This record gives sequence, structure tokens and C-alpha cells, in this order.
Amino acid sequence: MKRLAIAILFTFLVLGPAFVFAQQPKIKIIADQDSAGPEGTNFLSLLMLLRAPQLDLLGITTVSGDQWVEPATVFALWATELTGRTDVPVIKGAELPLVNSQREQETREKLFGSYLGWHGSFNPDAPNPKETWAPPGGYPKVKLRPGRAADFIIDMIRAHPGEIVLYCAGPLTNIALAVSMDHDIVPLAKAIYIMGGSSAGGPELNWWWDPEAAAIVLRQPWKQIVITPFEAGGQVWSSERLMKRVTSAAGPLASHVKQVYFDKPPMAGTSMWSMMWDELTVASILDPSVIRKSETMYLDVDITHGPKYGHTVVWKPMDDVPEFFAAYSGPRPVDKEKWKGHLTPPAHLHAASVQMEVDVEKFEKIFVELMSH
Amino acid sequence: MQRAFLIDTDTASDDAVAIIMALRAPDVRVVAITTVAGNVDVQQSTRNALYTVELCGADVPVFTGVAKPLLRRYENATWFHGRDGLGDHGYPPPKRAPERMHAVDAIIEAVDANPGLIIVTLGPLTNLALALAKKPDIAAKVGRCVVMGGAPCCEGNVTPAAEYNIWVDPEAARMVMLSGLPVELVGWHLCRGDAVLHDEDITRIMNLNNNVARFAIECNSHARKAYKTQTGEDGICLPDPVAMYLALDPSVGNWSEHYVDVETQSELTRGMTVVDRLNVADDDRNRTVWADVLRRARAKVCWTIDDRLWKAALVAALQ
Repeated sequence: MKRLAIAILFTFLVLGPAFVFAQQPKIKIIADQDSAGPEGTNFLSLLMLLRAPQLDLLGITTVSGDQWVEPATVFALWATELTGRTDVPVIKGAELPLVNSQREQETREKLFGSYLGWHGSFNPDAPNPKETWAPPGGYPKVKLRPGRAADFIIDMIRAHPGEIVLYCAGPLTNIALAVSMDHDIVPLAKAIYIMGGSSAGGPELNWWWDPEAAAIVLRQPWKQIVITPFEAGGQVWSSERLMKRVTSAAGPLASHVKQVYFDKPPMAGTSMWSMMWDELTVASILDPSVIRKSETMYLDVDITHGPKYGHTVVWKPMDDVPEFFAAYSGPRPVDKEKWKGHLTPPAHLHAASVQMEVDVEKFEKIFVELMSH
Repeated sequence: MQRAFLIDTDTASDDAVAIIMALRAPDVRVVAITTVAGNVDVQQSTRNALYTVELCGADVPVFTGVAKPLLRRYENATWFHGRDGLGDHGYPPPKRAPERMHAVDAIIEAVDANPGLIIVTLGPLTNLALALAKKPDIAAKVGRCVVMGGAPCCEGNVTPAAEYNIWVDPEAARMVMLSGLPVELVGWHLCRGDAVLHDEDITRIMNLNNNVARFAIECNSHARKAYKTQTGEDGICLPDPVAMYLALDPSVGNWSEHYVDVETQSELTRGMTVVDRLNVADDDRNRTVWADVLRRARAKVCWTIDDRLWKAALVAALQ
């Protein structure tokens, strides 16, 4: 009897987790992003999304950002072929920001200076917007889904109320268009994960490229807002060591990783290795414990056309009037009642969970596993 | 050959009169009316548009659009037009329902289906801005885009610098202005002074003795009082019908083309339509000052109309 009990317990311990895992409903997700490729953060994150068994990836919508939307769309389609996931539709989105333009950006830089190194598709030497180039092995054969990204996002959220997680790893133009056309989708989305902005209030490409779109999206009352700021991505780097783990695991993407990272040396003076911002957002959707520490902040974007146009604006909750006020407040004690306004979050903003500290080891394990198994 | 019009409107009292003018124009086919939040909320705007179409016995689809500005807090103008936008006379609900398609998509489809389409906007530019963002190439297919909005080189009506339609969603207005659309700007100044319907004009219209003419005057009762408070001028001020008058026949206005931009940065001058009336941006001596800032988009700006001819056209439309 005791032996049987042990056997049952043993069976449960071994099979139980697998059983629980199988019962977990998949997370319905839309990936909205600027898929530059064939390597780098935009592309590797897309491969992770396409391979993650925990996800029901309903579609990939594209937007300009690091790259113009035309080549980004080519690489998104190619990613579905590379992973054998041509069942996932790719829908093209916005080519240009809502209000911003490269010309105005250059005017501002002349007036105020340039505060962000990487300009993505606004790089002074960027290809023209309609130019595409073949991924290794040629253009993908799979076709684009007709229609526009913003409509796809609206339709999917309305078809699956309360279920959709939005993964946003590029400028927020498509999402801004969707919510502007149909404000009611905001409370119908389960959560929005955004790679963008800076927890320190600096410039970051995705929000800088289309500041008005980012402001529109951040000012909506989403059920859950999770932000991977620039600084969190800075804690995880692609490296020769990490990519060797993928190639030596000899999984289905090993040859792709070998081809783009190891077969030919990087151009003189450049490096293949970069921060893994978007991959971190994916990992945190799959396993929130990859984030060791998050902070609640109210984030916005500066949309005044000055030197900080597109920079993140950070409001952090404060429980009380800072103690040092007392030392400088003159003969009377601090009047906390009169300082109440300062302790209240800006009315147009919403609390977001901002990722601050990453469990790097766990992140790398998730990454290598998804790329290998 | 009839000309195809699309009217984008935050339908309140003066919008209703403008819609009537288009529906009554023999050489115009209104392919769609799209509504937007502005004078009144977007649902009320749709009801008012449907009611106006019904009153004219016309068969025009009405599409509901965007419920608030892109970034700014929505501010209506019911203090001017009345709570229902039509002077609160208790008009019955319309019989026909709005179409299912979103106004933004209706604009895109109408442009694609009607090359050379004439778009007349009578409200905030939120719908049109979103349509352009979704499908930028529609800008090149539009024949004319007549915008009732702005206060070119003059005082505004909601702030000293700005006119309501532009002020309420300045980012949308800026997107439209810089989109490459062939914009014809009909500012608020054109409907003031002697363009205002005075008692004798109102009597003339009431003497036409038909439902539509009576409605055109009656629904503006609240607006008349508000306009008196606002400007001290007595009478009915009709910005949207003046825009429609110029949309139907641009030759009745005195126009010139200039760089036009919309101020979005400053709270003081938010929504100001900045018009390079003296073309200083083209002057080499001003190049260092203006070349990069104010040389993006040109628009035709209407400066004056003949007020007697405008009123005669209005009376004819209401006959």
C-alpha cells in the first residue's frame, strides 16, 4: 500500500507538471513590430515568438522603425518560413509616423542638437522607404495577408475580448491608429507589453520615431501595461558565448544563427553583438519571473517640438512629501495638504509596470531553449 | 456630369445648413457623410446628420467616426449650438441607421472609388488625419479638400489665436495640412460681419415657407444667442455653409496660395493656423529664419467673399 502511494506520488511528481502545462491555455498574442533582419533584436524576438509553444500567435503586424516597413515586412514573412510557421499571417502597417517626419527631425537637430545615436529608418544614410533586399536564400514565397495592421488589431481584439496580449516592439503607430479609430478595444485587450522608452527619461528609438503615437497609446486605460525600457534591454546582450550555445544545441535554428552570426565576419569597425531588448519582452511574457524587479511608473512622451521631442517623461509615485522639504520650508512645517497635487499621478496617465532588473541567467536559458528545441 | 462630394462633419446647426446646400446642389452627388466628435459628441453628430439627410429626402449613407481628438481632451461646443447641437428643439430621432463601416474607412473607400473626389470638412480633422495615416496615397487622389477651419491672419473664436475645428484636434489638423492634400482653407473670418444673416435675411428665408428653410433658421437659434455673446454681432453666423458655398463654386472667393502650418507645441497659440500671407519664406533674406520651419505645405486660403452673392446662394439653396 505504501509502495503504491509512493508510486502514485512519483507519477504525479513526474507527470503532474507536464499535465498542468498541457492544460494551460495558450496566450493569444499579436506581435506588432519593426522586423529588421536577418539578425539582431527585432528578428531574434520574432523567431522566439514564432517558436514559443505557450503562445497562440494570431498575427504579425509590421511598422517602420529600425527599418522601413517594406523591408521589415519581407523579413517578417521570411521569419514565418524559417520557423515553418507560415500559418501565422503577416499584415503590413504604417510606413510613416503620425505627425513626425525625417525632415522635421533634421530641422530639430539643426536647432537643438542630436541626442539619439541610432535613428533607424531616419538614419541619414538609410535606404529609401520602398527599397527591399533579399534575406539569405532569397525572398520569401509566402504572401502578405491583405488589409491593414490597425484593422487587424481591432478585429482580433474584438473577436477575442479579454484574451489578447499585444506585444509591441516597434514604434506605436499601428496601435495608436487602432485605438484612435476604436477606443473601446482598450479595455478589451488583456495586456499590452511595450518595448520602448526609458525608465530614466531619456530618448529611445521606438517612442522617439513616432512620439505622438507613443503618447496616444500610453494615455489609454489599458488593463495592464508592462514596459521593457531601454535600460532593461541593456542588461542582456547577444554574444559569441550565447550564440554558440544555440549553435552547439544543433536545434532547428542553429544553422540560421551560424549563418548570420559566425559564417562571415562583421564589417570592419562594427560588431554583431547588441542588446536584446525585444527578446527580453518576449521572455517576460512567457515567464514573468525573468524580471527580478519592476517599478510602477506613469510614463508619457514629450510631444513638444523642442530638444526633448520624443523623450520619455517619467512620473514616479511618492507616498509622502520628501523629508528634506522640511529642512528648507522656512519657519512653518511642511503643509502636506497643499502638496497633495504633487503626490497625485498626472490625470491623463496610467500606472505601468516598468521592468528594472533582469535575471540574466534565466533569460539566456529561455532564449537558448526557444531557439534550440 | 455630377461632381462627387464627401462631407466630414461634427453635425450641429451650421453643419446641417451646409449639408442641405450640398444635397440641394443639382450638379453634386454626396457619396458619403462621415461624422466626428466636435460641436457635439459623435453619436449626436451622426443622429443630426441622418436627420438632416432625411429632412431633405436624400439617400446618402452616414458613417460614424472618431469619438475624440487624437491626443487632446475632447471639448465640445454645446454652449454654442445647444445640447443636441441643433438648438434643443426636440427634433425626432432619424429613421435610418448609420452604416456599419467606420468613417475612416469610408473616407478611404470613397477616395479610391471616386477619383477627383471633393472632400469638405466641417469639423475637427480627426477622421481625415487617420484615413491619411492608414493609407497615405489617398492624398494624391483627392480632387479638392475644402476645410472649414482656422483663423488665417486674424483672431480666433475659442482662443485669441485659434478657431475651434483646428484647436480641438491640432495634431490631426497638422497631419492633414502636411499630407499633400490639395487643401483650400475657409477660415472663420469669412462668415462674420456682413456675411452674418441679419433679421431681413432671416425673414427672406422664413418667407420661403418650406420645412427645410424653417429648420435652417430654427436649429440656429441657440447659436445666434451664443454668437451675440461671443462677438457682440447680432445675427446667425454660418461658417460651414460659407465653406460649402466655396466648395460648390470656388470662383466666388478671393484666394491665394501660401505655406500654411498648424501650431501644436504651445498652449498659448495651440491650433493657430500660421499662414505665410506675405510669402516671406520664399524671400532669400528670410531663408535662415524660415526656410526649414515654414516651407512644408501650401494651401489655398480664401480671404474674402461677396456677402450679397453668398446670401443669395444660400436663399436659392433653401428654396
